[in-house]
Amino acid sequence: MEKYEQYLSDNADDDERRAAAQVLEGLAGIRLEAKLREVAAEQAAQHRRTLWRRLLFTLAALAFLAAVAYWFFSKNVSTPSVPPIEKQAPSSPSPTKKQTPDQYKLEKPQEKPPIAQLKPQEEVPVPPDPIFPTFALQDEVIPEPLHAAPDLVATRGQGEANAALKVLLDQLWYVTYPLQGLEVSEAFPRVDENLKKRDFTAAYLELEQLSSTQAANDTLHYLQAYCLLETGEGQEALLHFAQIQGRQLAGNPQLHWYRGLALLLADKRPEALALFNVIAANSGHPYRRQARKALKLLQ
Amino acid sequence: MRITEWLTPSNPCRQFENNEQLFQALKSLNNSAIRCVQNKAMPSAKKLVEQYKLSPESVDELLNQSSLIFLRKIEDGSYQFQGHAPSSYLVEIMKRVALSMTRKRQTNYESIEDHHDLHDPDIEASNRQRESAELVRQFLGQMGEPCTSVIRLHHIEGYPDEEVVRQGWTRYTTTDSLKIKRSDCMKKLIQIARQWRNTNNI
Repeated sequence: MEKYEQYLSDNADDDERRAAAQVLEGLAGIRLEAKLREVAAEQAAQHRRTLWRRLLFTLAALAFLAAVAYWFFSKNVSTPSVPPIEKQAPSSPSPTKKQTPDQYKLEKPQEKPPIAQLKPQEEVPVPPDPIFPTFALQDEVIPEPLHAAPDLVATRGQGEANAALKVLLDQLWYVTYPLQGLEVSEAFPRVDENLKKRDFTAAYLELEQLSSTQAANDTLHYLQAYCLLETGEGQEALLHFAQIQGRQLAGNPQLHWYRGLALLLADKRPEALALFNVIAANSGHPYRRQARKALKLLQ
Repeated sequence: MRITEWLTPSNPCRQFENNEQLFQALKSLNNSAIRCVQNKAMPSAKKLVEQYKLSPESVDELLNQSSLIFLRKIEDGSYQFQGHAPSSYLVEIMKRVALSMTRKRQTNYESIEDHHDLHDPDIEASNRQRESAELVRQFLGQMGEPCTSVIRLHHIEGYPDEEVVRQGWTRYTTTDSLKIKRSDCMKKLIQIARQWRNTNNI
């Protein structure tokens, strides 16, 4: 402890000495108290640091265990025993095989007369896709189509197959105007006007006139295909789809979907299935959910 | 660094090779040395609290008060190193402080006419120092700047005058001017204390 004499006046009495001693004692006390507080804070900080390290270590250990568990289980899940129904799945049906109308009988929709030959619980294997063979058909909820499919009974007759196809297409008729990738309103204002009014016959006649006076181009073909699709002429629509040359339009996802519907309309179910498989397996395709729905309905 | 070392608090005693080194570090109020003896004495503090039936929260108070007495005795030279572990001396002080805390608690409930056996010179000195510290805090508050800073930096925080001047913590640019000012401030502080003692007839 510091000597207090140096701070005393020349003629310091006992009172001053005692006061000086008390001051220095008090200062020493403050110093020791401050030192102990500092040590306690240091100790607490170290405990906190240790606690955080333990917590971090525990979290890291848990994360590691979770990763190992995930790896272990995902490894087991990726090589499951194949269910018998999948083992028996036939290879993709040959597109060249002649189809009979019975083959197009479809799954029974709710609250509609039975049109399918399949029993409700019966599982039918999905034809494997050559490009994306392993994607799963999920139960995805998507809104119902805005418009009904063309009236096939009126254009094709009262056949059971036509009715079934109409029921199926009603659920898949995700067909809207305007068409993606086309600028119709400026180039063909009258066609555009008719299509907006959903007067497809008038629009088609207008397009026929246009195609007779000017060289056919992709826009015209696509518009004609669209009109034919909306009027239930699948085979005719496919002819126009086939004449679209431009890479940009040919790669249009909406056009893929419409072409799939045209294939269904044209009774080309295997080709439609193959196309829907490709669309459904493409995670970036805007019509993948519709294609999955189509595959599910076509099972 | 091994993972077990990373996950456990570092041992502050590791840097002291023997008890003498630890004692010398305690004399200079080295933080690690203080933590070292406190860590060693902590299990005994917990046992004493149980033994004397004190509240579990008393462990920190017991350790703190005992450490104050322990450091004061090292500082004023009344505890000299004799080869023993400094922590064992701290534990001895803790026993007396724990006893004092128990008796103090009992006097709150019982009327004890003769409290002569309560007197422990070290504990009384510590209490006296605590009171003096409280008074000096008040006096420093009355003095204001720059005296408060000049006295705090030297007498409480223990910075050398050279460091205070170099860092520019006060307005004094030479150690001589700082010392002269501090001497004036101390004289002023002593006069305030003297005046207080006279006023209170002490």
